[in-house]
Amino acid sequence: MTAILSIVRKEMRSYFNSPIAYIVIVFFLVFTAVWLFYVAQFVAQDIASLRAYFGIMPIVFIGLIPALTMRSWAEESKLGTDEILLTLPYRESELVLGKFFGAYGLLLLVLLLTVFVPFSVTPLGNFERGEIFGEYLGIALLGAAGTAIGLFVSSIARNQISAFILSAVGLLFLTLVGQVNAIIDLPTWLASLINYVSLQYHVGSFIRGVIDTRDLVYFLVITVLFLYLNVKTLVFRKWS
Amino acid sequence: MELRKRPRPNPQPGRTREILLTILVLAILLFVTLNSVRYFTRIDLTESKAYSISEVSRNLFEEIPEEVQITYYVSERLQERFPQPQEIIDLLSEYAASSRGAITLTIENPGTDGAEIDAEALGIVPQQLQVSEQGEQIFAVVYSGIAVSYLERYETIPFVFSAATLEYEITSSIRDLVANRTKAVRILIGYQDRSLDADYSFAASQLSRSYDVREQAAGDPVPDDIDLLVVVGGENLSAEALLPVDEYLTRGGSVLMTVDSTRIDIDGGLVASSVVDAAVFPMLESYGVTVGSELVLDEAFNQIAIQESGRGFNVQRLLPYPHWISILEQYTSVEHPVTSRFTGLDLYWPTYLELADDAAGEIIVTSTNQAWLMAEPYRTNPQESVIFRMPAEETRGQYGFVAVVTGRASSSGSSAGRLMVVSDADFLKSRLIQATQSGYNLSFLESSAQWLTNDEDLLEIRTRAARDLRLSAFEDPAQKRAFVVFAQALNIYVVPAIVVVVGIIRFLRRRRRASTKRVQQ
Repeated sequence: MTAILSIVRKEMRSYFNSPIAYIVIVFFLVFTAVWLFYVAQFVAQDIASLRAYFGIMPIVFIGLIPALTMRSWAEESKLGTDEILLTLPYRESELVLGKFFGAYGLLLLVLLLTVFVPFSVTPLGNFERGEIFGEYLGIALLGAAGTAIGLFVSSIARNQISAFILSAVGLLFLTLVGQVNAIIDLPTWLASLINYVSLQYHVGSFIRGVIDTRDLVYFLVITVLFLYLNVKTLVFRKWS
Repeated sequence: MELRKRPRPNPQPGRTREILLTILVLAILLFVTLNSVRYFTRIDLTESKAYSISEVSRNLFEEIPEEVQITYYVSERLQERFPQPQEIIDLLSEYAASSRGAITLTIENPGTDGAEIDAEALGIVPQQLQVSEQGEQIFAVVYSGIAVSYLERYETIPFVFSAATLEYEITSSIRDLVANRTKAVRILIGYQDRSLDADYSFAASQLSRSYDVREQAAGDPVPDDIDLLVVVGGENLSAEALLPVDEYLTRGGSVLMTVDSTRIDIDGGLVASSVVDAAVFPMLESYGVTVGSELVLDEAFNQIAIQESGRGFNVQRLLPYPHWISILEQYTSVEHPVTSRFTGLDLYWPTYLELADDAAGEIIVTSTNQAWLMAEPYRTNPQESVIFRMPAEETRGQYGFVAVVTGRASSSGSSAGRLMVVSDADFLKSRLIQATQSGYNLSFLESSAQWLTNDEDLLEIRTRAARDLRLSAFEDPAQKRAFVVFAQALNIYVVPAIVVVVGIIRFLRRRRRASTKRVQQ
């Protein structure tokens, strides 16, 4: 645990010592707020709900999460520091969890800074608090799954740019794959599988204010799966 | 001594173990995933528990003597493309599971084994969905309807695509089937030049979801087996035409009366004329309800669209129109079942009503306390906006619009059924509802009907997820605008600017620390 915490601290420090953390936070806050007030026309729509605000977040995450995770392993690999890291008295799982919680911690900080939106708009009408809580929970779980995917991609990519592009394409695919069913008539088993794989499909219940264990398990399985694959990548790299 | 080469450690056993371990972990994750789809539960975080089965339904399950069969006819094509059918299946499954065997659920895919013939025979309505098949755009026929059957009887929900009011619809269907009776509503249109089909089709359609709705002819006796009589535009009825209504009320019947003391000619330049001498007013006074003769205007108003002709083109302008009042949630009764979960109500050129001290009732909907009155000559032209900016200060105050009465005023002696009076005869007119997008007027009508027909428990299910969705907490539009500007500035500029400032401070500190270090070295 101490090992993980020390890696988390190191990761957080490196995020905030470079402009990346600030760029990511400011971009996310400005983009989502402009979306809510100007694109989704929150005031003109006259509806006491933040579904439009939380609904855009999975799309923003497609660019945001790769920006956070691209350098995690790819940069270490490029600079050759990954070999030093692997010789330190840390287990691979501790290294992966440390990097994961470092990037995920920053993502949660971004989400924390968005609480000014519900606090500032809820006095305008009768908002459903349980729904807003569910929306935050769903987006946080989606963020965890996305971060695990981004870290895994970073561990197999050669450099930051390819890590960013591969993660973004992967997240774009997983987020929007469900739309394929709306366009093409596929066999039932394939259509169900596509729906199950889609990240956005599983956020739906949370956005309505319902925690469905099927969605909860899905996000946890995706997160655990990619963290595990990340650990194994490091193990196999050690051998090669 | 012979030196022998030390054998290199063989990585193979470790690698094999890792590969086996990886396969095992993947298998466990797959097992967990597959089981999570089969065994699941849902936690409803909403304050109203909108996605849980209500106590009313659970109580109903105990009163069902024979098994009820619910069949959901849903096309696979629809299930593949949209999440809503799955939400409906989840809710129906939870509904059936809560009934402890009283209800069985079947999911049928029309298109297999003649299920579509069964579905259409039951009244399930097919819909068309555009799909792409082998590169071609085609229209596929899809179904998403529910049939509820009990003994030899059945009721149908022809098309359903949202779980929002599904529990209410299923519970009310089961109740009707078990009781072997659908409640009856009659609508009496007071206007000579208006009809139920042409002018009040939205209201009739809304009530048809739960009731057997028919038109009542003016002057005809109202049968005792009618559960509710809706009178639209009571001021146009003669004393003879009102007599059966009064008798029905006296016999314990329930009446919803919409009435105006000022008639507005919607197609004739909005000319207003007074009808204070109509026969309906003395009748209502016997129940303790007095309808005022002045029009009420309010600070909480809607906008009216005005067509203006230019050089060869028409322009539509939206003008503020205080004659069209938007009722705010805070000016409705929190205790009364009809308004306890208020979703909204728009009134058009309303007058006001008052209750006598000895009336057995209450006023449940009022204007804001910034409303004012307009006596004759009435000014209703929206382009005379200057008139609306000069409210009569001496009449400024709060005025009642909807009263509920559960008997005659005590001075009249005899008892009566439930009576609801709305001092606006236009709020159910389809054209006006469409103009102001006031679908919640229909929801108010349905809630009123449920209270008047003693279906408070069904009213509770239908409205438990309902809330006033408008951003209506601020009564003063200027105050609301100011708050919106504050929220926009805070979230678009202030919070991101604070992050930037923190970044700059941190950067400067690090630079100072680094240069101090360099100087020391």
